[in-house]
Amino acid sequence: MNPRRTGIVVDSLSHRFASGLLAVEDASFSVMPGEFVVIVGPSGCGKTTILNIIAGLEAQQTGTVMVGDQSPRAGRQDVAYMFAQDALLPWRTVLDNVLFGVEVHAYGRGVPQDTREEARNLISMVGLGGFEDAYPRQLSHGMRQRVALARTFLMPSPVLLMDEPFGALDAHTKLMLEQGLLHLWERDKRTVLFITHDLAEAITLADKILVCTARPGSIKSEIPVDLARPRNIKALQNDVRYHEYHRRLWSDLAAEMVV
Amino acid sequence: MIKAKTKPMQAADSALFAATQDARSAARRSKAIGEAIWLYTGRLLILLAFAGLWWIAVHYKWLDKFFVSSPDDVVRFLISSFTKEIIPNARNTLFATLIAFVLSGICGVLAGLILFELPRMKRLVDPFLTALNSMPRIALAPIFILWFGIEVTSKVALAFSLGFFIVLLSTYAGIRNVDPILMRLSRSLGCTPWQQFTKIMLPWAVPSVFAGLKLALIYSFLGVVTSEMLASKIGLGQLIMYYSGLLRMDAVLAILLVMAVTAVVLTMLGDWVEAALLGSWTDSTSTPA
Repeated sequence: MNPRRTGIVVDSLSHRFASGLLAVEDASFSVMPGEFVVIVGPSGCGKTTILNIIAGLEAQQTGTVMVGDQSPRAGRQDVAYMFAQDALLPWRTVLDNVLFGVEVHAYGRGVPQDTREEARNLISMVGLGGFEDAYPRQLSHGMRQRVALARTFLMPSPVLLMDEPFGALDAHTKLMLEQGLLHLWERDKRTVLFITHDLAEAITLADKILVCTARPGSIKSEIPVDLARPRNIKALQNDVRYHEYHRRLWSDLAAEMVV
Repeated sequence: MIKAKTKPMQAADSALFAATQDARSAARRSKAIGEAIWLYTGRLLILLAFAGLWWIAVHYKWLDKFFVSSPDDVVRFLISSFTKEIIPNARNTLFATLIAFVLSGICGVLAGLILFELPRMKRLVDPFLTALNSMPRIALAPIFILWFGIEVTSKVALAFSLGFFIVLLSTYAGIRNVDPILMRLSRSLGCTPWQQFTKIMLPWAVPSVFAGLKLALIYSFLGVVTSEMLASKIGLGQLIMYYSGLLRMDAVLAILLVMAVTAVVLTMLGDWVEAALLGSWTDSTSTPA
């Protein structure tokens, strides 16, 4: 699978829950192949619903959604989904958890040896070298989320959907994981659609930031982030433009906040 | 370059992990030994204190020996009849317990899985299951004795009627309570139904099944002894009825003691097997492998 080939197109997407609540209204945006796009927005603005529709976990109602040249469908091997919760299997070691996605996609054919090597490699890249045989309960929250990150990246899927994967972590752990994610992304530049409510996180990671309105969610503005890559989180703090982006995003979002 | 950058993070974490694990396991080991000594001497002291009070109460005639016997008589009976009465009867009781336990385990797990897989059938038979399970099982004993006689079969039947439902319900509950996020993972990965079942749901249910199995073991024992007390040729339950008919309280209490010890040993055995098989991923207090 060529990571650079698959993009995402969402056009006039609306979504109404069974309860009658309009969650998403006329959202349109696109993610170019190999682009890192971040959606920010107030909580409850339907960000996750949009992601679930793209992942095929939620049935699409109106509008057009294309992932590559196909409509969304759950279980596509070219789309990997990472959740806010680590979703690790407690009875599997770190290594076996990282291998889980690939193992499912092998459908009983077994995981090749070089994939296992790659899994070990990824585990040390996310800073968990030496923990291959540990069980999830022995790990901290941040470490478990790193295992989930490695599991997501071990799958060769060109499209990654990430739903606030670092949302529940403390500030320091979050920065470390963001840096880790940037390293992993730099390797093969996959198409990423990432959801967060953290503005700093959005600017750090994104090529393009989509600002979501309050419910019903739609895309209010698109802000290209023109910061050089590869990015270093520490260096970004001293970059004047980083703070300008922050101000700009803040004023965009402030209009959507109900205080 | 990527590796160089991530290395400090990794090295710091693994060093910290290794160091804390080493220090922890050493401290834990000596603490665990101290804890065990405290625990077992404490338990022994409680037993001795109880036996002492008992002996004194009987010795000073506060209690009538005819009704409560005395600790020395109980021990005397245990020693004199251990090989010729206790052991053969206990062996018989345990044999029946084991058969009932294995049957309850196999049938209970299978029935639990089938009911989960066939929700319509579950709805259909639900009231019957509830009725059977809430029936006082001892009331079934006369029927089983009539059907299966006073050999091992009727004991096993009564014990099975207790153990089966325990295992069934714990299996069903375990497999139903799979963490929703894991089901979401399964859907997003495109797991086949078989993969979802074998890789996620079945392992998820294992601790709950185990809890049910441990309970079923004790209840199988209970069921067998109860059945023996009502009608049997052999077994600890039958032995108790025999001696209580002779008003031999020393024997009755001695056999009760044997049954209590048996139940404790069975429980410990269950805990031990559970810790050995699942400890590494379920028990938050066990040392990592």
